[in-house]
Amino acid sequence: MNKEQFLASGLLEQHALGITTEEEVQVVERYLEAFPEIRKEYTSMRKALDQYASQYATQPPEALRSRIISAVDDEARAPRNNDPAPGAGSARLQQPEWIRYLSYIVIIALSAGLFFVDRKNSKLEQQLMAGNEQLASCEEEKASLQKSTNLYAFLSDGATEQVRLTGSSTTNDQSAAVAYWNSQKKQALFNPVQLPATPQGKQYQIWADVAGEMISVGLLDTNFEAGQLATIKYIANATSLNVTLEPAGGSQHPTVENLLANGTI
Amino acid sequence: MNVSEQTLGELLQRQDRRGIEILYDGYSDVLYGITLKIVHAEDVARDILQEAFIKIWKNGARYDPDKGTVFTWALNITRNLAIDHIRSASYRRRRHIENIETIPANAEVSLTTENNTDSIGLDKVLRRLDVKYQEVIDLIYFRGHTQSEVKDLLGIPLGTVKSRVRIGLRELRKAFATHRIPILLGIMYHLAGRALSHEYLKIALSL
Repeated sequence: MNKEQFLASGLLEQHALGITTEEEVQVVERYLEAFPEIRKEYTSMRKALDQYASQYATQPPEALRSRIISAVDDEARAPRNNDPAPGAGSARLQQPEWIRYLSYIVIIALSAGLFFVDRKNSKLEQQLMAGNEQLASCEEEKASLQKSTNLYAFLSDGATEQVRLTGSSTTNDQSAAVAYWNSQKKQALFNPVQLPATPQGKQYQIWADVAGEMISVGLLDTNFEAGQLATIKYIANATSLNVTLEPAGGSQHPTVENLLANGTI
Repeated sequence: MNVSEQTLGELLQRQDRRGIEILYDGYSDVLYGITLKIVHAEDVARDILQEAFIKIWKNGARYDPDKGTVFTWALNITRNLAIDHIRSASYRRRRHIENIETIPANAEVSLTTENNTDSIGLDKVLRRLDVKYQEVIDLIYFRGHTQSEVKDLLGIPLGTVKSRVRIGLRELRKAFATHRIPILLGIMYHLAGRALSHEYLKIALSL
């Protein structure tokens, strides 16, 4: 907008009459600053309007002066609060009160909503974590159940042979250990039913006899428990299983004088 | 009491009580008259004038001499408060009740306050301003209507409203320019009246 267009727009008159919006005020003030002749024009318009207003001058009642001065004095003593600037024409442009209150309500409602959503969220998160834990323990149980099922399947398999190992030095007919031998699946398990606890520094070693040669099929944990099945190596063509007490870590060859039990496959 | 515009502005900016007193003594008649012209009720006009002076006092620091005179500033604050009042619901309710009870006393007619005689010269100015221009300017200046509201109220095109505003303001300026001398005399009389006590003036006039 050039100077002529601005003057033709009627904004200057609007501003003098106090009906410009805040955006328009900014436009007008730019022109007032840029063109001294526009400012002069505006000033004379304002002056004419001031004079126009002045013709309505009416003497207020005498008592009003002291009433107003003391009201201002009261205001001076009251705690300061900053009202929005009145400025030229601003009264008409100020936001209505209800918009302010509405915005307070909206803010409060939003924060309350946010609070509840957050609380709900953390609740859900907790539930999710608990669910995950349950799932993990279920997985564990499932795995152990699977193991038991497998074990049961193995033990009840028709091809699984039970090899009773009895003490060679003892005469009781109770088995010292039992092995489960499956030549189809080529798998074997060992149950130390009632082997005595191992002395310090010693470990039980299990051997398979293949055509007169003793081949190691496994070492029993030192802290073994009766009834707990340990996996041992399956050896084809084994004719018997033997348990000897060996130094911890096992031996290359069985120490025959320490033979505790044996059984024929 | 006669102080320069600049001093008055500074007093108000500093929230000096004397600024309010000077402003009251110098301009309360115009501010009150304008308020009365807008609200048409003396009790309301008194309350609004009080409210306006408190607002002027509170916002003194925001007065900017570059944007206009103290008088213009104070006039705008007062006028806006009065316009806000007539646009508020309570005013409309009150008008409504008055209409129902058909109170014959139109507020404007029933005014008993004295009219300043030193505005006689200005009345002539007004009479010379064509009523169609005055009507438009008054609806905006004293009723706070926008130009498009005036368009609807008077049922004339917006372009006509705008040109009437422009011509009206130009006519006002012209009229006041040619009446500068009577106005100056009026102002001098006015100031003299303030300077001397009313009693003293009466004695002087009776001689």
